Amino acid sequence: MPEQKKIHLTIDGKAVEVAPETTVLSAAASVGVEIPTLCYMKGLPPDGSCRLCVVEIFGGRKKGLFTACGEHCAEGMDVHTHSEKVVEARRFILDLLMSNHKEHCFNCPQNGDCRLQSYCMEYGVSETSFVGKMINKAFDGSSPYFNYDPKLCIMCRRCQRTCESVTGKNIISLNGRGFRTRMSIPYDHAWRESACGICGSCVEACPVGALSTKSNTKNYRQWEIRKTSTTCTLCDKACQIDLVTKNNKVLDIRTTGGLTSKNLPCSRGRYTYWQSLENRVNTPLIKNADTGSFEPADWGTALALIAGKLDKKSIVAGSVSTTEEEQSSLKDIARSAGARDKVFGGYTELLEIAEGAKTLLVNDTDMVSGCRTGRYCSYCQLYCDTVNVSALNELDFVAVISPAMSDVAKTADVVLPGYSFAELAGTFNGHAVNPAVSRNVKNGLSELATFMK
Amino acid sequence: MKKKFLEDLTADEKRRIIQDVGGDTEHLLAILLELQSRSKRSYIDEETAAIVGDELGLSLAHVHDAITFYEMLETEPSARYLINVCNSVACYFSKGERAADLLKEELGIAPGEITEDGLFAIRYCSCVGACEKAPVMKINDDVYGCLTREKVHEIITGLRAR
Amino acid sequence: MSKTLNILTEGMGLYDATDVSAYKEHGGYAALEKVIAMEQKRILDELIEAQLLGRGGAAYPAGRKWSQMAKIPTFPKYIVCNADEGEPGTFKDRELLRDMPLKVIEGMTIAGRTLRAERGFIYIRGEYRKLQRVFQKAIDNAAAAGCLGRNIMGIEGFNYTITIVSGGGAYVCGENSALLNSIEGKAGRPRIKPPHLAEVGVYSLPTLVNNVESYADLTIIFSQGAAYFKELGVETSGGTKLISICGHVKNPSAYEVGLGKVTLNDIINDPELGGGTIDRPLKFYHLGGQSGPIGFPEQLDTAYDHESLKAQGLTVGSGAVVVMDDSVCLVDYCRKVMEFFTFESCGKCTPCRIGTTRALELLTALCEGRGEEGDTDRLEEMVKQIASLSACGLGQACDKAIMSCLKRRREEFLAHEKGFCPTGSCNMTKGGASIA
Repeated sequence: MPEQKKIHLTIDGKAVEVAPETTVLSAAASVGVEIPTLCYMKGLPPDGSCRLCVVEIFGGRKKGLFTACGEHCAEGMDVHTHSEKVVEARRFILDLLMSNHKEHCFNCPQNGDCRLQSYCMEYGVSETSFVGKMINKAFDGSSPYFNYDPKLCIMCRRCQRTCESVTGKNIISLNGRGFRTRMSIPYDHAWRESACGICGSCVEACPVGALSTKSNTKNYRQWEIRKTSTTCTLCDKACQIDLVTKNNKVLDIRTTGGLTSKNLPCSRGRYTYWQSLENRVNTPLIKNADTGSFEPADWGTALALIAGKLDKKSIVAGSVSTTEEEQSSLKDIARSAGARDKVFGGYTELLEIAEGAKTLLVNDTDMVSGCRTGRYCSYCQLYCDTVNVSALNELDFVAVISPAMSDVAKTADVVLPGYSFAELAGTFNGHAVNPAVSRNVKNGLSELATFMK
Repeated sequence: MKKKFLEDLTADEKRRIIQDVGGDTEHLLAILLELQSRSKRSYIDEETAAIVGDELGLSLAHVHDAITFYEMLETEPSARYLINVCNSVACYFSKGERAADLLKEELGIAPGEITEDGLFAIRYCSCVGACEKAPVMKINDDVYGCLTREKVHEIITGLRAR
Repeated sequence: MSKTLNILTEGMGLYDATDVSAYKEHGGYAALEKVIAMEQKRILDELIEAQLLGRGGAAYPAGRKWSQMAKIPTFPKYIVCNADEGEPGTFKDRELLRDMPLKVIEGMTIAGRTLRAERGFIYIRGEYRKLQRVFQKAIDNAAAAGCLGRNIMGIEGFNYTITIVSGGGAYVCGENSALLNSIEGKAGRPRIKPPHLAEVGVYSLPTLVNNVESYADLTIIFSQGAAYFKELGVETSGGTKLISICGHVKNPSAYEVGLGKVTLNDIINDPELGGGTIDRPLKFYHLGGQSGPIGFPEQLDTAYDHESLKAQGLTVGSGAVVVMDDSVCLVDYCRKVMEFFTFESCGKCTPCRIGTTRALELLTALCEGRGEEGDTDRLEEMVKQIASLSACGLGQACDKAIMSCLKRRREEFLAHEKGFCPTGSCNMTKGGASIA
């Protein structure tokens, strides 16, 4: 097998050897030379539209400015990534972009985490030199979890390219041509009225604040945050995600290694799960039989109460969204009590399981109650407020271990604090789950397992 | 026999037209132009765009992108006759009066506006390749050049009569 | 000797343009018959000898382009005819499509035969929708006569079809890669290169793109020979050129001239051609389309061929000649040119999408008396940057007209800076600047 011919070139004076059809951008990266980009997205073909990655090339039958993202290396090329001509060109591009950009960094959701902002700082473009017309399309905050501000759009089209090539949903369209082009939902409907499954991939793809997460914890500085690489446990896709935390609080979810067709968090993992983590359960709770409201109890009482009720007429149920270690704990508990153990996939299944029992212990990490199919693909479900779990009320006794007061937890007689996957260490579908935040509340499941041994 | 307007066609009839004009993505623009030419208000509505997408295996986003990108196609309704006035150099600088001015006299509207009876709308377009007859206007597939006050009046009157 | 020719346009209007028998009576399909008997190498050599430079505007040597295509080992290959004719002031392809469709078809078939491509596309702009029907009729007749379809002219395995693809109103689709995207049913945004269209074209397969007139010219080259064709023009550029003259001339129309056999002066002033200006003296002329340079009276003695014009900083381009007399302000004209680019910009790349609008705003300010000192320098720098950074030919050429004006008539721009329009046609009162 003949050895593949190598191409030799210099980048900023450094000698580089690459395979044919390697782009100048990746060749530069291989020798530690960083070239600024905006429209470039790993995993997608180069777009060559922002023009920020221009470099000056001599030799290799080239002379002049070329975009590094698409230009293939050629033998004898001499590449200058930060020559005077290049810097001037980049300033011009940034100047043009800023001339059509709402220039209020402090109010912008992307403040501190914005490539346009960083590059402007790096290239000394503190304000635009142009006074002219700007794109004037209204803000669209109709989608439940993210906002779209066309006045911040730099037309890199990463959102549309993601929606077309990565998720394959094809929701985002372009509207118009030339200066008046803008990203939009076909026929200008509000985002909420489209078939968008709110997976948030476009929001992650957007390098500026045009598409931004609604949660107002988004404003953070890069050095304030910690990123923990972990696995989303909400379904068997087991997306590899980075949990972005600040002060022990989860602020954001990013895809580990960038968006690819295999690693694509959905609406549930990215938004709804976090939305539902309000009303945390921080102590064991026992329902007052008369008033129906939950009262805090001490661990000993709560654990004893549950242990006392679990027998061979019980079912111990855990959802598919639990780690292997948690499943194991549940099995141990079931064995100790002589009860049956079941794994449930969705709420319909849980209710079916519940029908065959007198008492029930549920490890509710699923949290997202309700399942509205139709417009949304099966992986993207909206968190909704009502779910018909009244069937659980028919049982003699229900105990729920849950990170927050889910609808299932509300039907319980005893609730123990549970851990969300952001707090757990474990294994899920063969991937590692790493805790991103610490919780100074005991883990109800492990306490129960220990108690019942 | 008068053809039915696009707005009055059933989905199946639209699909038939799509297939007749070629039924594949190579004919996307030919299809869209044909459908729009039958519209009462010179545009392609969302439902029709969705049908086109469906027939050709394209997403609505893709079809919408194409309609808004190409100048001859419209997503917004205007009038029965959308008058395109050439705004390129040969017509703009031609001797005599500008087509837009003559139309303003005849119809009382400026580019971007629609007549009250919904029959005529005016907008600017780029060179249509009839420069030796400047100034030029184009209505559907018909190009009218060497425009004078009288000619414009004749053309408009003729269209009203249809 | 007559300044206008009837070689390519021989027989135009004299017979039913879509009738194959009539076409054959006028020498039609003689070229294809000869090509069928030739080896590929001989065909390519003949084309190189003929010195046919692409007639769409880029003037790339056809022989070289075809030779590159022939070397690519991938099949199937596609032949594409660029009939988008979007350059303002250009209306010569229209004549061919309407009155000589079979010449274009024959030329495309020659290309298919030579490069072993079985499918041809002709991308006809949407504004020529009526002509599309005429052309389709010609295609249907050619197929019925055994000159298209399967086993053409009885030759086993010689298959070729031509599909008409309609445009939808986008000048940028005249750019070859945008055109191919449009054929594929997408918005006409240009592609990045690499890869090049010859290798990765329609449906990512090797594709040849040439202009309408280029294909029509093949019928002369291969029926009369490369030497004959070359003699019609000059050493560096063979053949005749269809030009379209319009603007402030007495005889606006399309004409056929021999390359290098007439001068700009002939084209604009000769009674057989432009016939001179209508009622006022000539001020300037715009060659080759909006993306071409502007020429001035002092350059009229230049021979009309690629090399001679290039030496003057001018161009043949699409063959458009837009003539303007002294009633037109040069700055206002440049404003209209930039306005055209902003309207037609596809919007994909930053410098063209935003830059052309900013340049237009600056030109508009100059034309409305809101100019400031230094604006001409700013404009020059801006358009040069836009041109050097744009992703495709549209943005890359948006500075040509302005730069040619700044080179020879900078004073007109400088006057506008001070709030004065020497021509007197700009309404300078909008900005309230002082009038010189």
